[in-house]
Amino acid sequence: MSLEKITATLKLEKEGSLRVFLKRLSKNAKGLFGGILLFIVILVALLAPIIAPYDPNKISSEERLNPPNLTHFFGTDELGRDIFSRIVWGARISLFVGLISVTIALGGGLILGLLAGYYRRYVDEFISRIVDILLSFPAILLALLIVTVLGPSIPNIALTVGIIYMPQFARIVRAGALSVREKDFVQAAIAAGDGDLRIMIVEILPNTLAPLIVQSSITFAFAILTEAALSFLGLGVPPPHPAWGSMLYDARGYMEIAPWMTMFPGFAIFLTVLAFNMFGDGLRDILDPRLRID
Amino acid sequence: MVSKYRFIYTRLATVLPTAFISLTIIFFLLEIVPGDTADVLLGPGANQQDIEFLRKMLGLDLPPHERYLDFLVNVVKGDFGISLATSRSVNKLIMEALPVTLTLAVSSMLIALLIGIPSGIISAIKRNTRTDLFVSFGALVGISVPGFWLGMLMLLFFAVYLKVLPGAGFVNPFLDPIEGIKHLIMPSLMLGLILAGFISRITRSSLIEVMLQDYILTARAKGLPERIIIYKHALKNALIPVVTVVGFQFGALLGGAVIAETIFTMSGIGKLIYSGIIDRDFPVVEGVAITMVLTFILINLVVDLVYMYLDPRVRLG
Repeated sequence: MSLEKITATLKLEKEGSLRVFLKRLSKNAKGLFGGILLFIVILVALLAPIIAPYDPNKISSEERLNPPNLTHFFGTDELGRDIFSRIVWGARISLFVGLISVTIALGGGLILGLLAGYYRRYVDEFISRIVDILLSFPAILLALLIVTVLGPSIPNIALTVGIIYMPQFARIVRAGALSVREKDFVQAAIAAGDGDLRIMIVEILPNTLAPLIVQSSITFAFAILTEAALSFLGLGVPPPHPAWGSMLYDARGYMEIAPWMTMFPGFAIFLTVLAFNMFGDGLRDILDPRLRID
Repeated sequence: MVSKYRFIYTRLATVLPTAFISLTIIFFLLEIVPGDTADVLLGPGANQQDIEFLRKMLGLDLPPHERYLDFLVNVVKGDFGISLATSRSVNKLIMEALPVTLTLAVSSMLIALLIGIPSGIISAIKRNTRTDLFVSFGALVGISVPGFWLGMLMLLFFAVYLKVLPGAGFVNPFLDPIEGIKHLIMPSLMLGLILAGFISRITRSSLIEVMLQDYILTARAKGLPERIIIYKHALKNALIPVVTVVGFQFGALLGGAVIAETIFTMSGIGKLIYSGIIDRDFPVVEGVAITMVLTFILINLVVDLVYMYLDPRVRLG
């Protein structure tokens, strides 16, 4: 084991300790606030059946377009559905789409980035070109085209959003892989006859972990925004699912007479995205001192 | 100077393959959409004979590689065909819509730069003060607000309640400046404020990083006033990463135009491609997607060349 490898491992162990991480997080105001907000959103999503007072899809013709009141905290929509309950259940959709798409983006990006950074030459040339091209599509345009092909459904939206954010991950992993590829501990592993896959996972991957975790949090925010934007255009999560973006799509026709239909779902998206962004900023400060400048 | 030209050539050489592969992706994406132009034109319940006849007429019965070649030839000729929904030339539709979107993109970018750069500078100079906290949080809010929600709120507030701004349409600001600007304010604010958040954050972190470098320390040691250090020495270097982001974000603006133009009923290319997708008007979708991607590639080329001009290190690298 080379000295670098030992120090790297020790450093990783230190960084990886949950207690140290939580201690640092508690000292980082942004990270802490974002984390708490995030925890609340996750809790709401998990406990949706308990928190939501009504069935989110229950239509009631007598209660159409009721303003916020004591029985319907956030009012009702054009079909008399309880907006509060829909927002609570909508948290599940947003987090689900976010989670799946980040997993897809992360998984795909890892494979592409490791291959490009480890094998270099033609492999790198080929993968980097594809990544550049995917990045040369405006995200929402690419999303629109893919959704047109796949058709709107929750899994398809998650897949679409995952694909469009994959290149960013590939870039980060590639850069990390390139920077450690020539280091002694990797060369030692090659000399020792370790397999390529093993080297990529055991030696190279840990060195790209910190920026990847930060990127995941930020991408989570983007993914939720993109899903909401697609749903807002009527091309995302199909009705009657209570997706926040779809609720705003419905609200467009009633902005003047029922502004609460516009206010609350949008605020839910905003708070959730804010939580992920703040948490991401905090993670960056804690995990990646190179990126931290203040 | 040789390396400067080499950089330009290398950069130019990447344009064609990128454009070519992007076009190929668009072609094949639309190729695998279920149903084709003939189905859309004749509608559901059309008899199979008519569909076959129309396919033959439109050249849709040809094998994929021949259609792909036709497609490339048409792109090179700049001919995007006829819109299925309006029976008008897609070229004409795009030509009418493009100025709307470009005007919107440029005005949004102006707002973003005018707010983003100064606020980033202030935040960096007053690092870790209350001002910084306030500005940084503002930027964080900016990047977290869903654009379409911001657009709807503005529409509700300024057009519906206060009735001070028009809620729909586009007026060319070069023909009628007052009405033109009035129509542009809300959509450009919607796109510009969000972008301002990104630009502010990057300006801040980039300026802070530059301020920690040796040459700034030297300038300080020489006793130069802080003002001169910041504006004359630090800022030029600090703005380099901002330029790259501006290039990339221009693409995001073209994408954001889809949403802004839908909310504010502006007839730009964003609205055009959206209607195209809803009506399954494939020639329009294809034409606009190509236009957007090529515009984006072109803008990034220009940005890279500006970048090279600003940062001699790129030239030498």
